[in-house]
Parts: sequence; structure tokens; C-alpha cells
Amino acid sequence: MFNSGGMRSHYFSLESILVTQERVPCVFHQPVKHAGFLDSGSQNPDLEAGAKLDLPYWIAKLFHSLNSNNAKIIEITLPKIFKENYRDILTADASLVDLTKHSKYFYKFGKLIINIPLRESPEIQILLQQAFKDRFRKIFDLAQHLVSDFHGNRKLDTLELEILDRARKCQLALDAWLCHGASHITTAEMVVNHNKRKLADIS
Amino acid sequence: MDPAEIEFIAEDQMVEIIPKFNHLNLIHLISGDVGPFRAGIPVKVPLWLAINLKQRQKCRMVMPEWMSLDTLSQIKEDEKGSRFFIKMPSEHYMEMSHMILDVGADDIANLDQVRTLIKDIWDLRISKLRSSIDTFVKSGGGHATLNHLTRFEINSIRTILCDVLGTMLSLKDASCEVDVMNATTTQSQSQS
Repeated sequence: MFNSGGMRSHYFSLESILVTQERVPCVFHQPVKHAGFLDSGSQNPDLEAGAKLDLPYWIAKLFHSLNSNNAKIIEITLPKIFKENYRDILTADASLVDLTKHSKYFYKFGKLIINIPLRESPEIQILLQQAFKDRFRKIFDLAQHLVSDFHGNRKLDTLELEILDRARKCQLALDAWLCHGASHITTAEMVVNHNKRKLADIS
Repeated sequence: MDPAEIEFIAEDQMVEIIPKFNHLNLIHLISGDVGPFRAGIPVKVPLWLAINLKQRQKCRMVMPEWMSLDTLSQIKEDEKGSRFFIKMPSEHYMEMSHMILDVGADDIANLDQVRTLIKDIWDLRISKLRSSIDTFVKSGGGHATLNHLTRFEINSIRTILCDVLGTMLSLKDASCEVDVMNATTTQSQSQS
């Protein structure tokens, strides 16, 4: 198989590819010939200066690294979720925010944005760390209490879901071990089926 | 690690049994010699052997000293009163009591009380562990010292703690990528 080589994910990591598909808003400062197809709304074969487009991260980064006549071709602006008002919400209480609303890969996408780099990069980096720290308790609790239903986890980012999944597997193994051997006291089937008992349970 | 693996390690602990048979020759094992067995005379054997003999009705098990009601309630009180973890009488208290209570149920007086006490101690320690991990991560996760944790307790939080600390590091360090699953892929490669 592919060697992942320490902390780097390998070249064909599907997830990494999907993360670079996330869109970032860009403004073109220079006209680009034969790039009109990027803007599906226009019939023009060329892109005019001043065009505003949401481009996938990988192509935006490519344009960003190119210069024409010593001027930037495009300017990358922050995606909505990393904009200042959203940052304020996350700083206030990250554990309540639904991270998947804008991107399924909040942390990984954030890392990519930091690497562009933008003026706000250091701020975003601190935000990512703080958000993860604040949300940790939630993942921890979900992992330990297996009874809680999985449907409540829609607010978790892919990375958090991965951690949660692994932790749950571990907890399941532990619970199975703790239960095995010891006989469990369960309600007799007859009692369960008895109507009176059911009503008592509900009230 | 799987709980069963730690259980396996714990099976090497020595416990006392009272054999119901005579076998005067020593049994030579890698971990040391066991025996001789004389009916009615207590002898120390590894836990796995004790369980095996017990299951074949060849011996009675003697509970380890710390598995008495007095000692356990004392430990429970200490654990409740202290902010830190108490040193447990056995590094494998959870696994040993689990196995002994399971197999040697008929040799133990106050079985249910012992079981409840052990469970209480376990619950106390785990909730202490959880709250200290929470403060540890909130404070930024530099370093921490936790004394007297047993292997089984460490194992219960190993996965999540390693994943979370690894992720926090990768968020802090601009050059490395955020990826939890990498740790697993490298691990499975080294195992295969």
C-alpha cells in the first residue's frame, strides 16, 4: 500500500483531494485569456478583470502563485466560515456551532487556508486550535456514553467524527469486557409484555 | 490495546489456592516453578493456572488480601477523599477481581458487596481521570503527571487522548497535516 510517511497523508488520499475541492471566493485583478469557462454565467471566452468567482482551493492557489506584469492575478478573500463575524461566533462558544454547515472539513480546510498565506492566517490558526479544544469535551462525552444516539452528531466535522469513531470502538471493547462473565439482571419477558408495567415505565 | 490483552498480562499475577489433589513433583514453567501440590495446603500459583484448576474443580481459591471488604471500603474512602489517585494494592486490581469474581464465585463470601465496591472504586477513578483529562486538554496540553494509574485505566482513554493530542499538535504546527487516520495506517503497516 501507499506509505503515508509520518504525519503527511499520501498522494492519493481521497479526503485530501476532497478538501482541496472546497471553494474560496476570489476576485480577478487581471484579465485571463481562455478562462471564461470558469464563470458558467458568462458567454465570454476570456475572464475580465474584476470578475468575482468561487473557485476550488487548488486552482485558486495556483492563480495566486502566478504573477503577471508584477501584479497579482487574483486576490483570495476568506471563505464565509473564517470571516470575522463567524470567527467571533466560534470564539464565543465553539461547542455549539454546526461546523458542517459550510464545509465538512473545517479543520483541514482551515489548515489549507492558513497555508496560502493570508493576512488573517495567524488569527485563523489560533482559532482552529481554540475551537478544537473547546469542542473536545463534547467528543469525549459522546465517546464515553454509548447510549446517546448518533444522530445528534451532525454538528461534528469529519476529523472529529474520525476521532469519535475510534474512541467509540475502544469504549465498546471495554464495555464488552466489563459485561462478559457477569450475569445481567433483565426483566422477564412476561413482565415486559405486561401492559401495567409498560405504563409504569412511561410515567 | 484490547482489554483482553491486558487481562492476559494480568493472568501472570500470583494468587493463593488450596488444592484438592496431590501432585508432589514441581511443575517447571518459564516464569518459575510451581508446586508441590498437597491437598488442603495453600500454594501460590499464577492466576491462569488457578483459574484452570478451579474450572476443573481441582482447587479452592483464596482471595488476595486486598479483596476483603475492609480493605476495599478503606480504599474507596481514601479515593473519595483525595484529589489524586490512590496507589492501588495491585497493579491489576480490575482485571484480577473481574476474573476471580467470575470463576471463583463460590469461594467468596460477600461476593456482591466485593463486586459493588470494586465497581465503585473503578467508577470513582474513571470519573477522576476524565475530569483531569478535560482540564489537561483545556489548559493546552503541555504535560501532566498522573501517578498510580493502572494499565487498564490508562488503556481506557489511550485512543482518544492520543488522537486528540496528535490533532492539537498538527493544528499548532503549520508544516504537518491534520490527519487522524495516519497513525493507524502506519501502525497496521508495521504490524503486517
